[in-house]
Parts: sequence; C-alpha cells; structure tokens
Amino acid sequence: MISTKLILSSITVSLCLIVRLPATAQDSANLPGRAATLLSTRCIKCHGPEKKSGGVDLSTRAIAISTGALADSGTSGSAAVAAVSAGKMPPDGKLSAAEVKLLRDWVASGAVYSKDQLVAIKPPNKTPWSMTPISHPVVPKTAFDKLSSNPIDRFLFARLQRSGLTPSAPASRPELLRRVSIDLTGLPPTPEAIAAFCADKSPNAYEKVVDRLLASSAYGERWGRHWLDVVRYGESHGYEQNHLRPNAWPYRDYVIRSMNQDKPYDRFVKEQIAGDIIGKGDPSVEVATGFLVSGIHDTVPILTDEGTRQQRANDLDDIVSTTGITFLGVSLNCARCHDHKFDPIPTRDYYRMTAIFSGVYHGDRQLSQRPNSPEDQRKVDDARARQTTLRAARADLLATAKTQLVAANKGLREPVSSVFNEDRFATTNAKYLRFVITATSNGAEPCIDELEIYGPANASQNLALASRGAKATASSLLPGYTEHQINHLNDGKHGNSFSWISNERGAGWAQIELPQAEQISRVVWSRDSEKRLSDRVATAYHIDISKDGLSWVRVASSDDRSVDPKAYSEERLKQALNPDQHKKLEALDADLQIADNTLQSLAPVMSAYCGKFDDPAPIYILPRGDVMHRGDLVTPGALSQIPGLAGDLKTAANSTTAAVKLASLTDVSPESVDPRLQLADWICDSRNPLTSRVIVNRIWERHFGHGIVDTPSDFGNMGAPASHPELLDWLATDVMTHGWRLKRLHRMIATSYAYQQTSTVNSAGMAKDGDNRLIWHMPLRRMEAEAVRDSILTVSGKLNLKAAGGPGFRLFKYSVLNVAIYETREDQGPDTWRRSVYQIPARGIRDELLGVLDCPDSSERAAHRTSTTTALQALSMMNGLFMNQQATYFAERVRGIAGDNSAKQVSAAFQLAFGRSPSAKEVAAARALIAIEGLPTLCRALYNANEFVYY
Amino acid sequence: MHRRKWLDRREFLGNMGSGLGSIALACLLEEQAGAAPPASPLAPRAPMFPARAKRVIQIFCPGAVSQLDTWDYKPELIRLHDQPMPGAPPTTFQGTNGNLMKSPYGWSQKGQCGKWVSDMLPELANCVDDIAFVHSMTARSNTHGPGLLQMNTGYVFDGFPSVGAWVTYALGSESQDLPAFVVIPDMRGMPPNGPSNWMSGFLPAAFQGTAFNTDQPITNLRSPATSTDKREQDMRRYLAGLNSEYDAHNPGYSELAARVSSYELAARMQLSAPEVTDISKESPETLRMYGADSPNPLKAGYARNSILARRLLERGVRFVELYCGSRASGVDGLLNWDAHKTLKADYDRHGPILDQPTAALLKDLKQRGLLHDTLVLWTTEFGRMPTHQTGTAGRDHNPAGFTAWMAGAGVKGGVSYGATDDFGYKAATDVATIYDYHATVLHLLGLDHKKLSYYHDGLKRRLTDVFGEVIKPILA
Repeated sequence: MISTKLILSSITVSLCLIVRLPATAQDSANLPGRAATLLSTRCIKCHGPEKKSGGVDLSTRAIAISTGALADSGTSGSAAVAAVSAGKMPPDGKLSAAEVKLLRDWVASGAVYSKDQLVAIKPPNKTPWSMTPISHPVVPKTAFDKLSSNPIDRFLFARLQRSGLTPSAPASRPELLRRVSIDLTGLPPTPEAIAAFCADKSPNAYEKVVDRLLASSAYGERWGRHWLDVVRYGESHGYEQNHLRPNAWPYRDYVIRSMNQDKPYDRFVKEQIAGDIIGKGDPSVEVATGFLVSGIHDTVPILTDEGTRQQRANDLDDIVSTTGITFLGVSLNCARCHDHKFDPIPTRDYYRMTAIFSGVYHGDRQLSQRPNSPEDQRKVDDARARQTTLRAARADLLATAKTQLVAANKGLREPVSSVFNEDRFATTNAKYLRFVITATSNGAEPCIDELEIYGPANASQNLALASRGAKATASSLLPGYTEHQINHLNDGKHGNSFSWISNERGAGWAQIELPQAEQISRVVWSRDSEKRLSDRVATAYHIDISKDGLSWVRVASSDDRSVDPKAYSEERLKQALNPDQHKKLEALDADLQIADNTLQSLAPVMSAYCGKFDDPAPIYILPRGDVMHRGDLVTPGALSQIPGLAGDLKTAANSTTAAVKLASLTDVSPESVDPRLQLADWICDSRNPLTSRVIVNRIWERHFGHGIVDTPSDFGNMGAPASHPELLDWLATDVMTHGWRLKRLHRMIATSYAYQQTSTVNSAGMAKDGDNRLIWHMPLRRMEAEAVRDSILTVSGKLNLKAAGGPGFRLFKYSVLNVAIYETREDQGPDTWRRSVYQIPARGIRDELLGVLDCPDSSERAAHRTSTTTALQALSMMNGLFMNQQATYFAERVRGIAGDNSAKQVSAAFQLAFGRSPSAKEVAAARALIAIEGLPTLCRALYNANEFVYY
Repeated sequence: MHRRKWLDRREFLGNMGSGLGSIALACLLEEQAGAAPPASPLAPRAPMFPARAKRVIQIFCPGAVSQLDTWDYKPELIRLHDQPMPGAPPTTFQGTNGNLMKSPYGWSQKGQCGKWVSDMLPELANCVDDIAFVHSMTARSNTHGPGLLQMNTGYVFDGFPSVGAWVTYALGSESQDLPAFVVIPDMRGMPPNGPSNWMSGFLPAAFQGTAFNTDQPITNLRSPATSTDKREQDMRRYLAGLNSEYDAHNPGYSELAARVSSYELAARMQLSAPEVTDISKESPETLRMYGADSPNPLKAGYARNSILARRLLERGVRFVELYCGSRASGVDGLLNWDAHKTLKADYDRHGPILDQPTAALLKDLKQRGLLHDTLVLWTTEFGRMPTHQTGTAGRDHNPAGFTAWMAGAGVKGGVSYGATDDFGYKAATDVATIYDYHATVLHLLGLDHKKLSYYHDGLKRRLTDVFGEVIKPILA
C-alpha cells in the first residue's frame, strides 16, 4: 500500500519542478495551483495561522487580505509581492526571477486560491552533489606538466596554479621511503631497504619499491585495519556484559586477505553484505558477513516487550547505519525517527533498508567448506543424503518409543500439574501427614503454595488449616523471602506470595500435624494455584501418614502418575525402547557417526561470528522511532532519491544473475532474489555515484591525511565540499573501469608527484593554504597508534610477522563475573609481539598505549583518526612496561650489531629508529648519555623522540 | 600552525549557518601562526556566556538507587502498603512484581525547607537546604549498562562522549599539571560498563576521563622501578636536545612543539598527582568529618576518595566523577545499589558508605568557599519499583521515575522539582529527562547545550541529541 505521505511528497517534487521552470504559455493555465505550491513551500511556515510572523498570514485569501499582505486586486497593493521583489522575503534565500514573476502574475490575475487553505509543505531536501551522476572530466593541462604526467598531478597542479601556488620540491629518498613504507604497510623501512633504495639508480627504482610494498602481506594488515575502523569491528559485545566474541576474528582475517588479494572492491562489498549467498560453501567468503554483525549487541535479557523490541531495533539500526555510512557515505540513521533533515532520505527509505536486513541476527554461524573435487562432492552429497535418511529413521524410532510410553501411561493418573493436584487414598485415621519431594520440574527447590487435607465427612472442609489448629512444619525453608514461609503451607491463601519453598534443590518435605487424629482420605496441593508460576513443581513425591509421628505408612505417590508427553527427554524415550529397538537405534547412531566423519573430513565446519540468517521478519515504519507503535508495513528497498537509479531493488538488480553465476558453481538459486544480494548489486551498480566516490576518497584520505571530501563518511548536504571534485570523479571512473582494483589506485597515488613532495613548508603555501588542502607539499604526520606500536616492535627486532591471522592476542586480563571484567595486563610476553591489528579490540577498553594514541574504541564507527597530544601519552611512552621492555630489547639488538663501541652503537640505533645516520653533534650527545646512563636509556629516548613517531 | 588542530572557539560556539562542512574543518583548531605557544587541547577556554559554575563534581551511585527509600516521600505508598498497585506493569526488568512495598526506613522532615527524607541517610538529610531535587527524572533504558551510559553520555549505546569529556572539550582545564577530567572509581572496582562511562567517544582522546583514586594511581605515572631520578632527568634533557634538533629541521609544525610541551606537563604531573592523592596531610578534623577514620573499610575508602575529589577541585580540575558502588557482581545489591531481593540489608550496607562522606564533602566545599562556583551532581542510572519483586523483599528496575539532585553553583537550595505519581512509580508532574538534566549542567557552566557540538558521521552531535530543556526553576 502506498502511503498518503509518499503520494504527497511525489506531488511536491513534480510541482516544484514546474515552479522552477520558466513560465510558459501552457503553465499560465494553472497559475493558482503553482502559486499555492510556491506559497506552501516558501511562505506559509512563517506566514501561517500558527506563527503569523510580522502579523502576516497567507493561508487563506480572506486572511491574507485582512492582514494586509494582499490587496483585493492589483499588484500595487500587494505587500507580499513587494517583499519578494525586493529580496527581503523569504529570509532563507531569494526567490528566482521566474518565481517572483509567477507571484506577480498570480496577484495581477486576482490572486485566486486553488484551495481554501494553504498549509506549509517542507520543500524536498536538495540532492547533494555526491548523488548526481559522475562526470567525466578531461585531464587538464597546466604549467607544471613537465613535472608529471600522472593525471592526479594534473588535476592538483591545475588547482595550485589557479591559487597562485607551486608544487614543492621532491622529498629526499630516505624521507620518501619512510613515508611510503609506513603509509602502505604500517612498518618503517629496514636499514637494508633504505640502503638498497638509495643505491638503486634505475629510473623506476621508486616504482619498484611501491610494487614491493603493495605486494607484501603487511599492506593488507595496514589497510585492513583502516577498513576495520570504518566498519566498527570489535571482538566483544559491548553494553553492560561486554563478553568477548571468540569467533569474530575470521572476519578480520577476511578483510586483510581481501586487501592483499586486491579483491575487486565491488566484489568485496557484495561479499560483506551477502557472502553467505554468493559464496555458499566457501567459508573464506561466507565469513565476510561478519561485517553485518561486527557492531555492538546487547546480551542482557530484558523481560519486557518494549525492551526486547528496542534491542532488536537497535541491532538492525546498527547494521543499516553502518551499511549506509561505509559504502555510500550517507547517514541513514538520521531517518530512523523522521525524514532526514538535510539529505533526500525519507524515513520510508530507512525502514525499507531495514527490511533488507530483517532476517539478520547476531551470533556464530556454522560454515562448511565446499569439497575439493567432484568426486568428494559426490561423497559429501551421499553422506548428507544418508544423514537425512538416518536422522529420519532415528526420529521414527523415537516416535515409536513415545507411542509406547503414552500407551504405558494409559491407566495411570494425570501428570503432575503446577495448578491443581489431588491424591486420594483409603480412609485412614491419622494425626500427621508428610509430603516428601524427591524431584522437581526444573531441579530447583520445590515450592508448594498450599497443602490441603480432606476427610470423608465433609468434602469442603480443609482439615489442614492453621485456623483449625493444625500445625505446619518442613524440612527446611529458603531464607530471605517474606513470601515463602512454612506457615504459608496451611494459611488458606493461594499463590506464590503465600507459599513455601524448601532450601534443598529438588528435595524437601512439608508436614501437617492435625489438632487430633482424624479420618482422612484426600490431599490437594499445588505450586501456584493462581497459575502464574510453573517452575519448582514437585514431579516425584510420596505422601506418608502417621498416628504418632513415629511409624509412617505410604498412602500415595507420583509412581502411578503419567508424565506430560511434552516433558519426555530423549533419555526417557530411550528407556521405553525394547531391546530390539535399542539395537536398531545403536546401529543408526553408528551409521550417522560415519556420515558425520565423512562430512567433517571433506567439508569441515567452522564457527564464525558472521551472523545468523532467518526468514525476514515484517518491518513497519516506526513513527518517531518508537518501537511500541507500528506504521505502514514496508517491503525491502534501497534509497529512492538517487537520480537515475531506482531504489526499487527489482529494477536495479540487472546484474544479479551474472553475479551469481560468477560467484557460485551452482546454478542460479532462488537466493539470488534475496534482498541483501540485490542491495549489494544496487550499491555496486555503475550508475550508483556514491560507492566509487566514497571508496576513492577513503583511500585518498588515509594517504594524504585529508580527504578530497574531508568528511569521508558523510557525502550528504552537510558534509564537506570536495576540494577537487573533478579529480574525485576522474578517479571514481578510473577505478570502476579498471575492475575496481584498489591497488591500482594506491599505486597511482603513491607514484604521483604530489605524494613524493618534500614535507618542508614554504611561506607562500602557508599564507594561502595553511590547511594544505591543495597539497602543495606532503606534510609530516604522527603515526597512528598501531603503527607506533608496530614500529617499536620492528626496531626492537621482536615483531613476529609470521604470527599473522588466527585468534588475536589480549592486551588485558579477562574474567567474567556475570559481566566481563577487563584489567590491565602487565606481562606482555611474546604472544603479544604481533602486529597490532591482531590485538583483540574489546569495546570500551582502551589499551594504555594504543588508547592514548587515539586508537578508536570500536563501539562507534571511525571515519578517520584524530591525532591528539597529551601528557598521558607521554607518561605511557616514557613509563609503560611495554615501552621499557622493548627499549631493553632494542638495546640488546644494537649491541648485537655494534658491539661495545658506543659510536657504532649510536649509529646503529639511529639507523634502526630513524632510518638515517646521526650527525656528529648527535653522536656526541648520544655517546654522552650512554656513558652516564647506559644504552637502554638512549634507546628509550629514541622511542620517545618526535622523529620516531612522525613520518 | 596548520593542519588539524584543536577546536576553534569561534567556530564551535555555534556557527550554525555555514553548514557542517566548515564546522568539520573548524572544530579542529587552527593554532596561531608564528611564535605563539602551541595550543594545548586542555588550555582553559571561556564559556559561551557568563557561567555560574566553574567546575563540576558528579557523584554516581551505580546500580539504580531506590528513590522510594531515599528522597521521594510517598504517604500513599505507606498507606497502601501490601495492596496491589493500580496500573502496575505486567512485567519489569527481572519479571513479575508483588504488592506495593513501603520503605523499611522511616521518614522525617528536615532543614528550613522541611524536606521529607528517609532515615537511611541522616547526615545528607541535614544538607537538604543546599540541594535541588529533581524527582521526575526518566531514563530510556531499564538495564544498568545502557542506563549508566545514558546518565553519563546522553546515549544508551557505547561510543558517545561522556559529560566530563564534553565539558573539557568546551572549557579545557584550569589545571595544567593534573588531568582535566578525573574519574574516581570505588575501591570495590569499576562500575558497570567500566571506562565506557568516561570515554571521549568520537571526541579526541585528550578529553577522556583519567581514572585513579587514593588506592590506585594514574596508569604509568611512576617512572620505571629500575630507573633513578637522575636517569630520568638525564634522559629528558637528552630527549629535549634531540627533539629541538629535529624540530629545527622541520619549521612550521607546531604539533612538534606541542609534543615537547606534553612531556613537560607529564613531568609536572608526576609530581602533582601523588601530592593530590596523598591525604595524610589533611587535618584530623577533616579526616574525621569525612569518616576517613571509620572502622568500615568501604566507608573509609569512599571518604578518602571524597577528600581526593575536593583536593582535585581545589587545584582546578574541571570535572570530577566520584563513584560510590561498583559493578554487578552476580549477587544483586552486594557491590552496588541494585537491591532486587533484600533491599533493607543492601541499603543498610550502602547507605552509611555514602552518607557521611558525601555530606562532609558538601559542607567542606561550602566552608572553603568553593560551593558557590562548584556544581555538585548526585546521580544514578534509573529508579526502582514501588512494589516488591515477586518472591522477594526487594525492588525491580524502574526507568519511569527516579530522583537526581544538584547543589552548589547557581542552583537553588531546598527546592524540589517535578514529582512522581502517588506511589512514586512514574514521573507525573514536570517530567524531566536526562537530556534536561544535562542541558541544565551545561547551562550552569555557561554552555548552550544546543550549540555545543561536534561533527561526527554526518551529524553535528550533541550531549543532548536533539532534546533537552534547561530546568530553569531550580536555578538560583
């Protein structure tokens, strides 16, 4: 069903388009209608019955005239026309000449209102530049073209030239190598690499370096970490309990692997949204959907309906928002409660996007490997078929057992009930009655709300009542609860609030002592006769009676009661099988084991936190985001307002079939119409202008420190404008037309002249462009937290590059006492000397070193890194155990290279830490320090130097 | 002098018209060109308009303190004790509830204002003339983790900046040798969520809270045990020389000088932080007034931390958050105020820990002339039910109505704002939100909560999201 709201908004769109066109002969026919639209969108909000700004109300013709805005006839009398003609109104932007003319014509023709009353209509949000089709700019020619033929430089040069700036000189080789090594791999160059590069006189010496770095696995570890920032990857659930997610890491490895393989970006996107579909049977692809669920997830059970709905809505919001921000640079979550304030994203779009993911749930998923050969595939198929048959046979057998049990139940009394039970026995004279419990429904302490005794004389006279003088005793009492008391057993009041609970799990007895020996024949008892609670029910019990409290006779028990068929455990069912059936079951289990073994060896199963998938749940628009109210039911859909690309997934999914064929050995499956896959296709559609622009900008931002768009996760109207829009479009096109390969983009950037400029500043550049948005030099930057830590380990010689992938390492002590508790880990041994990307990022927990160096908390998406300088950073760098431990190893390594000669030690230490030789003055100062305080102190100082953390 | 730097006041104080793009650039401050000293992210900054409060201490009692056993007097609850509650919800956080349950504590009127308070907190009861109670608080979550986050950050999700982070982002700090935002955890351990409660979220790391108390110093404050003072000095001197050489080769990068300054500040902090946590020089009267001499180690610990809080405020720390209680322990109500089953026993334990030290802190701030420009906040994440939890003598969670209070700078004393219904269940009169509470705190600090913002992920984020009204009736 199409809502009224949608109809209205599309009408508004079309009418506004008409208004913006120059008036033509045809248009003049509908002057009142067009004037009404213009007034409604631009004037009535202030000049309506509510605000009446300046005393003017234009909502009806009569009021407009009475408030003086319109004269009865004729332009000269219209204050409204005068105000807009003079540009005084509207205050938020003049009307166009055509719009002014429209109003003037309308007033001149009698100011006829097309409807009785005009109401304010919010004009549609303008389409941001980023949603308009990608342009195909021509690479410009500039005065600096002799410096470079790289198209990136041509665009940058053109902009510099227009601003009267010139590119800076090239950087020295050591500076350049340090820059490109840290930038592409997150690791400083080794002294050997520096020497080799400086000695290489071939014209493509630098290009070879770039290719080598891009081919190293360290590249994926560096750029994978950038991606993990953007997608808020964490390895704990967050919220109060914040338990670790031990199976989350396969997604991290997937990202690193994909980067290193130079997986086409469109493929990378599709796998993360729908890897379970396009990579079915290939765990290395299926695991990509870890993207969907790598955010926070509340694991505290809430027993209210609202709480449960809110938790689910929050999970879906996290998935939808992250999808929108990561791939499209749009903040969809703004539309959760109302239409987006600035961007053309109606609330309906938000919920249509939510509907796409409504079958996605947090949790581990079992992933099975596709067999290696057709022959293995046949074996697997066969084993699976056998599994099915065997399981069916097994189920049949147990069903038989159930039938047998039910038959055996015939003649037995009804099962125990939590609400009402009656045990009858031959009339006996007794003073004491004891109800002995030997098992409960849930193993907990038994609860009885009332224990009643009746005799043959009066069927409605409860002889056990305390009010008659009967006395209740019990084996024990659960302490601390006013509701649960021994004397509640015979107080005549029912329900949990007036009950007894023993203090023995699954056991206990309750006893009634009658005022005197009486004729009794019946006991009535219940757990909660008010029917609210059904736990703690006595399922095995017997009733004994006594005249003197010393010798007891059993008069009733649960032995002759049947068992509720719902409560049959498999164990119980097995007991009901006869010996033949038992043998048959054992044979079936043995065959099943063989089939399982076959599958485990040929199609092994792994568990990864990459989401569980269920049938999509219906999604309703939630007015104001309120989970307790439901608006229209929506169907899955993508963004509706991107020009030239429908948000209706059926029309956008042209490439689905091809994608599935490419991805899977199997034929097109019904899953190809899965809305997630269709959304993935829609995102990667070449007509989608956002996807390529956003990824190009992300890559650019991490190379240069600024994006071409400086808000990498916001390409909306409130985001930053592009500093070089033509360059962005040129690169976006280039990426798409070259198979979405990102390494090609890295190479083009890293080999550009701009990237190879010196970091030295010049006064002209500083005066005209202090921000360096035009990239007239290549500024120094502080390394990110991980690069600092990895550099420390590299320089000390302790970095274990082989320990790549797999479960991460902990920089904290972990324990669980209902909630997870994280404490500082002080013994950072060799298991932690891995690259920092393999550190387990628990939410809300910041490592003492990484945290103070602006490593983001994975609770929120981080579009880029901030770089702050604080005293706490200095304390960690100076005094941290890790730093001092590594300084000692650094000193050992230097001694191993240079022996005891302090001049050689200084030289070796500078080479390792800074990639350069020390000056004579530096040698002298460092030797002096070594002489007084020893080599480890020098190493500690070098780790703390500005030169160490800047590149 | 160029590139991303600290917040530029001109811009962050509400440049509404120019679109967020320019704010995104400008919220990171341009430093002055030339020889001017590099701006520290924690340099003091003026508020947007004249402020009543210069600094804040937020006392936080995690676990959800029952309003019905402390500040919210309900004669009807006493009268209808043990009767079913009309309009009771079918279930709350842990399940079903029994009848109405009056407080096991008695009530009496206190102070000039005649405020009814429970007998659980006799010392604080004597401070009511300085306190403005907000009885109509409401929270968005009935779960501790998200609840604490909302009270601390305005949002029920991880990842948002805490109040202290926002305040130091806006105002910097008056102290240049102590952290700007100090968190004092309870000696029993961290509150639910741990450090997420004082994260800087998407604000730069410089604004996150630094946690220490009288038992646990700042992480990495001490020089390595194997080093000596002389070695530290020699190394610092050498490092300064090394850096000045490098910085001279790289003119125009003021962040290099800023980093050198941060090392100097760290050295000062190594001296000043142990001094501030050493309360042994406080007079015996002061120690007694706070209860630091108590034989109850938990009370003595909280008393020491309360004295530490005052010392930090005296030294110009902008924002102090002081915890009384820690995390959920598996036994409800043992380590914090989460009295699900045995409320009387739990609060007989927690009440005395909180009472005397907190009252002493208020009195001490007053007698030292600090209360007039120090804002004191008392907060908890949500309230508790007027009914008892089924099968227990405790109360379940209740986000529909609870009490928080403020005292000191710019706050009227002896007033109560808003009210819950007759049973103390739902906020009914002048319903207040945590956004309102936060808006009021910022207002007292001279900050407009609608203008204090930071661009993140396509939004100009605020402490108060898109909500919040200053609670004007409690302002002096």
